Amino acid sequence: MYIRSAACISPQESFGQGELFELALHRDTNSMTCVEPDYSKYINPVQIRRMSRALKMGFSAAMECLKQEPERIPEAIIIGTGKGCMSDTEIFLHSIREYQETALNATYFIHSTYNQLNGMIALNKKINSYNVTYVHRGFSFEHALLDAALHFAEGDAKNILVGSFDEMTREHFTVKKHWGYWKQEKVQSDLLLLSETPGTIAGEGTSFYLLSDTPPDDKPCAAIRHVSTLYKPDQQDMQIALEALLRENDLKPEDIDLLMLGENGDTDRPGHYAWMKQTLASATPLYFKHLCGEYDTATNFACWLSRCILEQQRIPEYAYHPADDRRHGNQKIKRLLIYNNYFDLNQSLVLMNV
Amino acid sequence: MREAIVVSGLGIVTAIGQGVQASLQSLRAEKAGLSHLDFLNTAHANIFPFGEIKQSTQELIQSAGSSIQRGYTRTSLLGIMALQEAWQQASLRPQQGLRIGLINATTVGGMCEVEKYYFDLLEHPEGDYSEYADTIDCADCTHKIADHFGIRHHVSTISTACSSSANAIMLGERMLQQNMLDIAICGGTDALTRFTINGFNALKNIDREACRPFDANRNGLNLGEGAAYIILEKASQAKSRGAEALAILSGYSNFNESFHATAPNPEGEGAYQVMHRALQKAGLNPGDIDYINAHGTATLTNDESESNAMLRLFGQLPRFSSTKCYTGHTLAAAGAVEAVLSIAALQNGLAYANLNFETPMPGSALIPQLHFESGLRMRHVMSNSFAFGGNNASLIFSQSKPLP
Repeated sequence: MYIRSAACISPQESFGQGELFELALHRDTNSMTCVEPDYSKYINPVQIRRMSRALKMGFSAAMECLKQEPERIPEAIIIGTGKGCMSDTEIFLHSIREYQETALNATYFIHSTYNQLNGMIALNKKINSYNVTYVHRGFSFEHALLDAALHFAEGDAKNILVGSFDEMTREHFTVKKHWGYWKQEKVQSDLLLLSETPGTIAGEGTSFYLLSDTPPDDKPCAAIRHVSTLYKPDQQDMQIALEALLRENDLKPEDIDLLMLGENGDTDRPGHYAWMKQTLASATPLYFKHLCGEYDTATNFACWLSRCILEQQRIPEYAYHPADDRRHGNQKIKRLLIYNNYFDLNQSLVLMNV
Repeated sequence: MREAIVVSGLGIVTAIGQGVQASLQSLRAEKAGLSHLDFLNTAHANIFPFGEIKQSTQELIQSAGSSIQRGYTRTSLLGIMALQEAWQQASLRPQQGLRIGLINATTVGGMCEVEKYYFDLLEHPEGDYSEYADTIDCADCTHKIADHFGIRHHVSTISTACSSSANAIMLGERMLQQNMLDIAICGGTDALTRFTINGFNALKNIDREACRPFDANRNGLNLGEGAAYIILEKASQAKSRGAEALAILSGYSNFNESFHATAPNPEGEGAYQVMHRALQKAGLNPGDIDYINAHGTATLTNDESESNAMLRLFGQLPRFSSTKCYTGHTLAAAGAVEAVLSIAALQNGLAYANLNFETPMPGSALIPQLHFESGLRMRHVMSNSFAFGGNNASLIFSQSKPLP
């Protein structure tokens, strides 16, 4: 699946250009919130007032992505979201209590529906097509990719809009803090990978891609080659999945140039990162959670960052581990493997190349 | 080349019964499962009729099995109860070397519990809420169901409002065709919640009486709860492992009509397209369909739109009815609930009565199936699911054996 166009709203200056941001922004609040664009370029003023941040971000990213390839009308819209429009859900919960189940505003309920963004994009761009929303926590974005891959394999689509969105609200931050997801002490985001304590820091973001079955003939184009999702895998499961990925793509371990790792500084849930680095020892390890924080669809930010690296053949300094001097050098970057662990439950592998 | 994908297990629990046989008894007796609420605390409990399953969450824990202790929401428990039936019918075991995938669907996941503790947690975070950890999203119930049955190969959750589990069934078919799974367990689960009841009430489309699908004087839907799953596998595999093929999933379509955020096109363009495409996929003509289990929510807009679409596609309609007047609208579960009932109709030659119908709608003037009928010759049945956001789905099930 070739990435024809992409748009990403994240805690970094990632929007409005298909290129890598030069410098990483840091936070010291344990919650990385998005750098939001000027929504008025994508949404009319009446709609803006009604839409929550999650919807505005997701909708703008999708519109920007489609705008870059105006000739390509998607034949499917497939979106992943772990928590949907959290703030609309919260507002509706509060209003049920406040107004004692009377005279409620239906807009928040409608917007809390997980497939709301899917419907809005279809309605706005008049796209009559296959349209599905995946809501499986740390697999939400990966399953959207898998569905797109199925469509291409079936041969019934040439262009598919795939994306994900998740927002972090103050309230949801509190709820997840209660379950022990976040660090107790304040951590500066650029030093996240050096923290040796339980928990991680929160994040949010949205990215959309126009995926196509053919590459453009005038420029290098990153592609997604393989997606594996593993539910509560032990090391042997990881090994079987990695071997299958290599075998099915006719690769040897040393063919993977870069590893994009979802390490998040959480000592309670170390995942299989150490094993992965050992097994693919010739691949240079890179990191992304200190740039976007932890959330259900964080793999999508890794995907966006990896696409930039593959197409521009350039690795920004902020993608390396702050305590590791290893650098990739000047050899061509052909293949990159993303490995993400979402709190030991949902783990995934995404193989990309250029 | 597509290989036939067959259904080898059915499981269902709704307000009209636990299990296919209990459900058919209610349908045969034309007995709805609608009532006021006994187990959910809401201001609307005695105002609207609901399709509530008459077991407390504590009783559901006992019904679902002794291994279940804390942390199972009503949504998860209903899912486990429904899947138990399908799992046994399909003779599945966790360790038989099959790649089993669970493709679940839900609209609000564990909201039935979240809405009870949410403000306590925010205002008194020192309390113990550990049994509810992570029930706030849609994946929690899927994980709980998967863990109960030892399913690890593939777990996924879809949420496209009222067409969610119909989309889960389609995805299962596609993953089997591409050899990504050996067994696809597809369906959905939703428990009644204050959240959903107030949402639909704010939309002003809940009827204070029992709903009247396709009637001129219909006045909205009734909400229900439930869960249903179907087990899909390749026909060749079912045969080789000795599992009975109950039906073939012969056609399906997902089509977004991009008309309005919550309302369907009154002309029924989206509904027409999705039924037409499902027929095309199955290689069938409209005249081949012997029964339609309509979406039939009894809202003003859905039934008008669906009637117009059915008229345009079929001309002379086959038997059709909505079973939401028995179960209430079970939201994400509805697609699978109605798929199970459609397959039971196909297997047993049944057509279910559309309750509370008196007056045909002006315009389409369609008359649904008015009484329960058995002994019918059924070759193919269609099940429709239409949703918020213009998300339409249609499924076609066909006889797995030649009819006499």
